Amino acid sequence: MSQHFEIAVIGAGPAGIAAAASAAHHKISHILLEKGEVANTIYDYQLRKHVMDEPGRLPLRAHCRFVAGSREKVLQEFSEDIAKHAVNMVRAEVTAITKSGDLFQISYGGQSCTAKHLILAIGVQGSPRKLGVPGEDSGAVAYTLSDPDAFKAKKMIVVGAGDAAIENALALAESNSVVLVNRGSEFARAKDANSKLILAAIASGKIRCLYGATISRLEGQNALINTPDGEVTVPCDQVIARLGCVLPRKFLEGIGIQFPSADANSVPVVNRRYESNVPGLYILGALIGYPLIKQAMNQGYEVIEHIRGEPVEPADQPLLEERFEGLSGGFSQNSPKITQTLPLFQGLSEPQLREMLIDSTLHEKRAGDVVFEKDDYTDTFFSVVTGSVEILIGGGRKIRLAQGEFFGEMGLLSGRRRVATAVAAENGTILLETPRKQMLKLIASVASVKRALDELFMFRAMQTSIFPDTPEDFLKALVQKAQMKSFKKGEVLFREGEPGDAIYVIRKGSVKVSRLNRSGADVVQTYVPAGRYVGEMAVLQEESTPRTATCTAAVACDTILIKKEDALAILSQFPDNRRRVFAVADERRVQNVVTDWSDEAGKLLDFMMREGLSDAENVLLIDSDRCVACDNCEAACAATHSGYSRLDRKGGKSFAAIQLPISCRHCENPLCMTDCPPDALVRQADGEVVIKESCIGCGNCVSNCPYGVIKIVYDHASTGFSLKALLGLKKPEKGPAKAAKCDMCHQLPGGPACVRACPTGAAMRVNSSKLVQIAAGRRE
Amino acid sequence: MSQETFLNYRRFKWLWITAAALVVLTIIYAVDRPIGGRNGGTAVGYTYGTLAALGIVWLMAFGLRKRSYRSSLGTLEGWLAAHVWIGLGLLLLVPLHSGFSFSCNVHTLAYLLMVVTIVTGIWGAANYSTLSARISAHRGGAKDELVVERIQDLSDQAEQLCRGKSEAFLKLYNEFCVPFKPSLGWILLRSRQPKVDASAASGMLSGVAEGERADAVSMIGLLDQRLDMLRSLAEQARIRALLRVWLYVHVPVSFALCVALVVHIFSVFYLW
Repeated sequence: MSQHFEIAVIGAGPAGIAAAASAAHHKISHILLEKGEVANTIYDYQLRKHVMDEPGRLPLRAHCRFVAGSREKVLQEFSEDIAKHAVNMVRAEVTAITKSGDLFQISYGGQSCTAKHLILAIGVQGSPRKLGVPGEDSGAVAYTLSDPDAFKAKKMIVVGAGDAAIENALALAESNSVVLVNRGSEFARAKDANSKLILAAIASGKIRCLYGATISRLEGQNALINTPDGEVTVPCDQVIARLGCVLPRKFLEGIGIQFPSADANSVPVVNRRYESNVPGLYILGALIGYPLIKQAMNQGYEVIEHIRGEPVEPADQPLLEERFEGLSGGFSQNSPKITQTLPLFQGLSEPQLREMLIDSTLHEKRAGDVVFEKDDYTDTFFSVVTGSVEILIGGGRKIRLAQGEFFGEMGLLSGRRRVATAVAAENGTILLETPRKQMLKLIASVASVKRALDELFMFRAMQTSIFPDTPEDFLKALVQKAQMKSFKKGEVLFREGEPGDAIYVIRKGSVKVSRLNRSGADVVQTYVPAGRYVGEMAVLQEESTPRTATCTAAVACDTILIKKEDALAILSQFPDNRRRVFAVADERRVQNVVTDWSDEAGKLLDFMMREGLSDAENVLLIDSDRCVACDNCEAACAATHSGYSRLDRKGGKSFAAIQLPISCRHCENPLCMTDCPPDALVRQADGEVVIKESCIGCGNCVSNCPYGVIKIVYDHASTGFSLKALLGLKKPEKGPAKAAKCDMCHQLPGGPACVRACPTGAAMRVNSSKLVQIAAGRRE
Repeated sequence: MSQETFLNYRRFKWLWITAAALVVLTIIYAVDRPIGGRNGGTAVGYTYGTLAALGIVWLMAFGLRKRSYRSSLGTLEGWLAAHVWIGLGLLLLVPLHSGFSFSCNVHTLAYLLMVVTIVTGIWGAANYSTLSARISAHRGGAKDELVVERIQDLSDQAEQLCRGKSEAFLKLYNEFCVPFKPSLGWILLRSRQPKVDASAASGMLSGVAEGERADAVSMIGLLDQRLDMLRSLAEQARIRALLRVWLYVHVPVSFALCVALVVHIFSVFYLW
């Protein structure tokens, strides 16, 4: 005869323990089933690992303890609290779950029981995601790492960008050489504290990190890794892959739990009481996309309150209320609106949604209120909850966005300016502003968000660059046919003479255009920045036309490839578009024949591309023909920046009559900004990248800047008058370290001191759009 | 690369302004027929003298403006353009002031000091506009440190070849591995170019034993290369020196001019 319980909890992790402890506290009959150790995931952590209690501002509500501390201490407290509350824990593996009527029938370790409520808190650590590359089965790949001290003086590769990968990499780096392979360009998914630690380790050279990289195969003692700069071979003894886990989906579906999509990343949907589509079956923690310990424990507490019929607000409720303060209706009235009206966020589980909302801000706008201005460097993402917004795309044209649509997606691409001004179109327009980091996290974890944004990017790119006069329906259809295609630096999009079969809209990066000159040398003609397109000439005619130039990625590029027949179909249908594209093609054709483009000018342009100037918003160039080496520019820089010159005139490279001093270029994609723990590097509205006082001198930006323009300097702390110091007996104390670089003298009304202090006019600060003219010897 | 320099700044704006002013001032000077003849003591003379003195003060202020790095009062290039053309204008304005009378006194001394200042200024401006394009390190050329290293390398290789060779071979080495120390005269005038004299070298080569000839030829090549690099190193040093050396005359003399100017004004009003 099987036992009956009011509540059965499967999985003695933080959520399960909290739920069972709460049930025990309220003297509800319960059973807690666990096949392995208490808090298995924490148990598998590295020995003595520090367990964090993020998110810091979220309060803990549970009948058991949890504060940040060592792995051992946390496990100890869990065990003590299980004993203290006399939790009925049984160590056995669950073999079957069925539901008959209102009761769940649970078989475990040769026994069985029935329960009215079933709480699934099994986590996701059971099945790690694999690398899936050739050579993986050679035994050189591990998916967990419990004792990093087992490795000494080995060449280790750690794959991943989450907390597990970071912690493993840091621990291994103590006595091994570690290469961290990060598929993305940041550590957006990691906890803030971990993100700071890993960036500091990378900055200090302790760990080498390959960004935008994936392992392509393992061969003997080597890993072949694809990077934005091509394939590299990295010697390695052991690969630790921490790519997260896959859900035990089959098992969950067997119980009748439904998933919103076939997507591997999708998680079961639960309501705000954590109840799934199966009545009486609750799911908590990582299974529903809630991987943090404190969140899971709060859920364990809440779910028991729900079962007891006690109204309970989620622990993050006060935070959300605070967020919605000042908005008519507050959180309770606006929150359902958000889920109903924003299709983009419908794939989010309730916990994900709540987390997103806590980080977001709601704005109520009146008609005509500006949301952001064109060319601003703000980077948040906006959704229209109610009302509508107009995007002014230039030429007096507007795009109207209604409820449920979203904008500001260019801010998600690091460093891109706002491409248009957004204005609220009616009174009472409510906008949800979500920070970039939160959106990147959602893009990385919710497949439907990623897909929707990718499509939006393509749609907007086409709408603003090549097909502005096309009805939305046509463009949406075209988006389905177009492909995203990425090119590494130096990779060729197409070659001169090849038959043209597609147009490329450049979404990110820039492309250099070169042609064979009369003597047969390949000469760079110009370069085309993001937001424009190349390859239009060859697709304007029905008949096959050869490419008139070669296009090469100047930096890593993302492009949208539109096939010739699709482009032709749109162009033939919409004459305005056709005229526009023809005009661009004609202009380029004329340029091709009239430009007296010398070898030298081409080489000079090529030099500038190689030095990364195509990414420069504002670069200091010196005209060698006029520079008299007086170094007044450096003197001016030092005099206006507390004695430290932020430019090194002699240090930079030079070619023909162009000298490129070591000085900040205020890049379009400022790599320095990528990983600044206190967010001290900010871009001003006019493009300057400046360092704020909050700099902690960690040096991340110094190592992230490919051009070596950032230095760490020490302000001398003022100690007042001291005779000893005056006599040189006491050295002045070093003040705190700060990163220093060119700030374009944004505090001076006249602009950059270096340029204004040049007696011969040799120093100039220019935007990348002027490079072609400069190479050709023309200057405005 | 670009056409605009501090000389033709804004299409010779300051040249035209100065020239126009001088034309007007010369016409007034020509029309004016003061009693007792034209001199510094007439109304026109006083006016022109005041203008010239103010001009000198303003020209001296360039040194201050150059160091006012926070100033938003125009660019330094614009100031230099004005400095050059207005400074040149003084060459005529001051004789107009004195009615072209010069003699052996403190007044003419002040004029002479001004002329020296202006002439060195012209020299400096000429250097600025002709030499900057020849600083090879600015144009992708090797930096000095690297050239020095390569010269050392070449000397080492040549010495290597000398090991265990005959007297005649070493003589050849000593003849062409000359130290090259440019003098101030060389810097200013660049009189003599050191180089391996090909005919002298081939003459001396015949004195070297048959077995050592191949090495001797390669050594001559190395030494010639070395001299070439020394020459270009010296040439670069010369250019950099020329871009600065004029200032060591221009600035001190301009201060001397100021002193002479004060003495001139003082003596005119109190002692004349």
